[in-house]
Amino acid sequence: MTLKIKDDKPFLRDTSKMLWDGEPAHAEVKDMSPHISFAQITSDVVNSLENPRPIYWWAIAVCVFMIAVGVACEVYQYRTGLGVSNKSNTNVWGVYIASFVFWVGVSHAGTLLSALLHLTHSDWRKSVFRYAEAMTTFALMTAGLFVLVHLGRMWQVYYVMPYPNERGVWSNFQSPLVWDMFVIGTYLTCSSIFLYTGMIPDLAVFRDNIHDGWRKKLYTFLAMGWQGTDRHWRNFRVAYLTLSVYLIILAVSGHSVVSSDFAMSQQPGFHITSFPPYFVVGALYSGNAALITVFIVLRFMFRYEQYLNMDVLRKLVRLTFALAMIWTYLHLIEMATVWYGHDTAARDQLYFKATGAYAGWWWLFNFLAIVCPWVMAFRRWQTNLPVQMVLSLLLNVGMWLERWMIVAPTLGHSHYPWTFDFDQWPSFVQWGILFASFGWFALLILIFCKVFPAVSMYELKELNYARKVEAHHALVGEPATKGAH
Amino acid sequence: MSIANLLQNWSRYRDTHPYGGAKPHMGYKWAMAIDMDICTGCNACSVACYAENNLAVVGKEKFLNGKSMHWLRIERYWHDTPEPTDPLQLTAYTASGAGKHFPDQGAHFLPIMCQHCEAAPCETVCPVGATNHTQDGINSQIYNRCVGSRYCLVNCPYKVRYFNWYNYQDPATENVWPEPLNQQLNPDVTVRSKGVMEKCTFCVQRLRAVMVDARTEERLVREGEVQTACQQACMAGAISFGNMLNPDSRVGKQWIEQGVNIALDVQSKNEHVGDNTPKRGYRILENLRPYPSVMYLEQVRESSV
Amino acid sequence: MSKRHLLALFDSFDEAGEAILELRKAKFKGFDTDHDMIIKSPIEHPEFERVLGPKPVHVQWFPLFGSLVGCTFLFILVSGAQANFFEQLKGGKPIVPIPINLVITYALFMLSGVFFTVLGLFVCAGLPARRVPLYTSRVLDDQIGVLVKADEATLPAIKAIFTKHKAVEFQEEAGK
Repeated sequence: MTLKIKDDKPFLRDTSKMLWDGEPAHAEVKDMSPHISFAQITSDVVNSLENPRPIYWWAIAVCVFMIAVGVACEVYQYRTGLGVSNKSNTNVWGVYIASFVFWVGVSHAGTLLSALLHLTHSDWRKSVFRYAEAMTTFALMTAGLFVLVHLGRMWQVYYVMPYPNERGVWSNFQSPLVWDMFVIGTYLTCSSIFLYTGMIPDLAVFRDNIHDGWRKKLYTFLAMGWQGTDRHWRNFRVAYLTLSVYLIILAVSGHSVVSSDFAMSQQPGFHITSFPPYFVVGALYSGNAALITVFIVLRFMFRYEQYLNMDVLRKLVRLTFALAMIWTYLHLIEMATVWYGHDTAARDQLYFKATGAYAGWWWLFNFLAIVCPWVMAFRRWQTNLPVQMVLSLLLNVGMWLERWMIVAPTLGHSHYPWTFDFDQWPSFVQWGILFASFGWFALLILIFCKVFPAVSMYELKELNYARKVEAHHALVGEPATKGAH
Repeated sequence: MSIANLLQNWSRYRDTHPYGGAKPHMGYKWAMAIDMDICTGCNACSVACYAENNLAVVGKEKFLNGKSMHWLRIERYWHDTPEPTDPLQLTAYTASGAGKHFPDQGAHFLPIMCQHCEAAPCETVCPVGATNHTQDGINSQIYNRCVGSRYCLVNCPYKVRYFNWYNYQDPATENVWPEPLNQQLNPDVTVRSKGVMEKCTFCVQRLRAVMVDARTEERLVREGEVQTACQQACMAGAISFGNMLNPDSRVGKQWIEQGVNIALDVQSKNEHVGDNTPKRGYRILENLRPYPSVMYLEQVRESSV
Repeated sequence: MSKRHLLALFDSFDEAGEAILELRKAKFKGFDTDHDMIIKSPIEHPEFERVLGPKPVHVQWFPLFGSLVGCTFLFILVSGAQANFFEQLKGGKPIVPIPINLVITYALFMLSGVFFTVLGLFVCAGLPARRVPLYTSRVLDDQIGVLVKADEATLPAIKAIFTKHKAVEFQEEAGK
């Protein structure tokens, strides 16, 4: 038996409209059509490097402006001292640490999509996982910047690393910040390796399809002579699977260690046993919301309507809703344990959050992060692009506020009443640097999508192949067994 | 090498503070006791600390903003009285102008500095090891190792660490010691730059000087040979400081007298049978188990008697 | 006799697969079906690759080795560093706190595992690779290539089999 829709139509190059009649190529596609040829996928992705919509360049300009604001703030803070960020000896952390946790959180969705869903063979991930994985790397790079900005003497940050020196001085391996350095460093290294490894087959396609300029040299170098031989694919498959197993563990341990920055301390409101799972799920939640935002932006900007389609969006939205509900449960149970326990300092802390100086922000965050995701439960809104765009941004505002509500009111209201300090409103320096971080992250993503394949070509082809086989069997009336892996 | 070292000295590597008396510090355990019945809250100790340790005077605005550098601060607490429900009493209450304060009780006050905990929460969380437990029982702070992550301050239950938010010796901006005030800086103590954490050191510069002297004479430091700046300035003699392991030391005797054991988090001070001397010793936030080295002697008030 | 390469391009996996199966049955002289035949495809297709016969993969042993070595190394490094740095005594904790060291040991467990996985991929897959002869970009786009290396005398017979199974294009190495 040979797999051809018709005898004169080569299977992998089939573009017929027999089964999915009347479907325009680039409109509101429900799902990827099986009639896209492999060559079409290649040319769509290769072309996305060349001609994004003009708004791309406007977006780049906005990002550069945002970064400039942050750099100006940081230069001012660097020269004058951290005092200009308006913290006090009670509120020592503030926006920087909250944003650090936020960005580490955003990084987690990429790992979930690319690693966990890869292991479970959830094929719908194939069109979104590449940029999600890039988001992981870039969000971690953004988070790393907040560590630098936060430090009093960032020029001495290398003290945190354990390097051999003649004085025999080592960093303190007992500190959760050193664990952070180890685990976030490992996570960043491994996620970039994972991103790169998964991209090798696609880089080879770029190498073959782009014929001159720096791009040719770059792709030739990075593709490392990949030729798609059976030996390459066989080992690649196992290596990629192994990497994804490591990445899942890393994602979980990564945010658990970030949560231990808080949970390991004695501060009431930080010292909570359920913080690791609470942080991990919160990270997946906000990361997925960010994924939806980037999904809608890339779909428009790079004309990926065929691949970043409504079917994938619907699944992403459902996943986000499920994660939001898990997170809600963990959030409520965290408060319930504090309220039920007899640690009066922690309980006062909780009451302070709900009724004290930060109460407005606290209730806003609860509304945004708990109530708003319910919009995602309704089928009619799940594929409505404007609604999802606004909603995903709101959810991330809520999740940022959640991190800020963990840091700011908690530090202001500790064990020791004399040091209570409720009115440290972060200065423009902190807000400016937070503002810039979004520009920095978006700039990295935009550059990445212009230089590297933002959707994975070979995985799309696999998905497409499976669809072709399914469609063929539907046509000839045989059970689809072969090829649908 | 390190493995051999590790295996040979294994038991030594597993020792933890507080030792609990069975294994003392190496000759020294500096400790303090502050008698609140003698203390008048005059702030002289705080001023002496500013002078001795080159503390920056940050000014009113930054003080109100919570950026002050007072290593030793006098905390003031007022008794809150609930508003009376009876309208007649409420009128009197408002008319007295007392507001929420309880005037005849006056203020409670508490001089508080770094408690030099035996199991200090700040030490374990410092990423670079800038704050450690020294062998003479002090919680040290190494300024030129500090990177300013401020985690120690987050984890300090007393919040007695102070961060240099600005460069207070920068002639261009925040110079708090303009000419000729810089002449009064203590040459034995560093002037800290921006971005480092600092805190009470038990006047470690004085301790080290006498300890070196004592070592050249092959003895331990004697009681009374060294005083902290706050102790020296206290006109009432409310602060006693010394080597707790020295049987002659006033502070060691006070701790024993008050039945406060440095290695316990729940003191058995009220359970002594046949001992009628009132036990007034306590340590702050003992239940968090940092095992602080500063003991306070409770202030006995007329109204509570 | 000198050996030469022949690349046949197919439009579908099934045609290529049947051609390979027939080649394996044919047992040409001087043509080792296990080593002289390479498939090139734009996507991975594990079921299809079975036509080449059993081809074991050994990548998974690299991370196992790497992880164990990495975490042992880090645990010894960290504990040794602590044991030689007695000045960094932390109140309430011993100088070598084992449970705490396990946290970062775990991080290096994964880091070295990942490094060794990539190393394993490079070693086992032979990356970075030089181009084999008769490379065409079509095999990464939408065609399946079967590259054989055989004696010059047997090449026409092989080619006949490929043609029978609807190979769309041939590329041959120039004779020496």
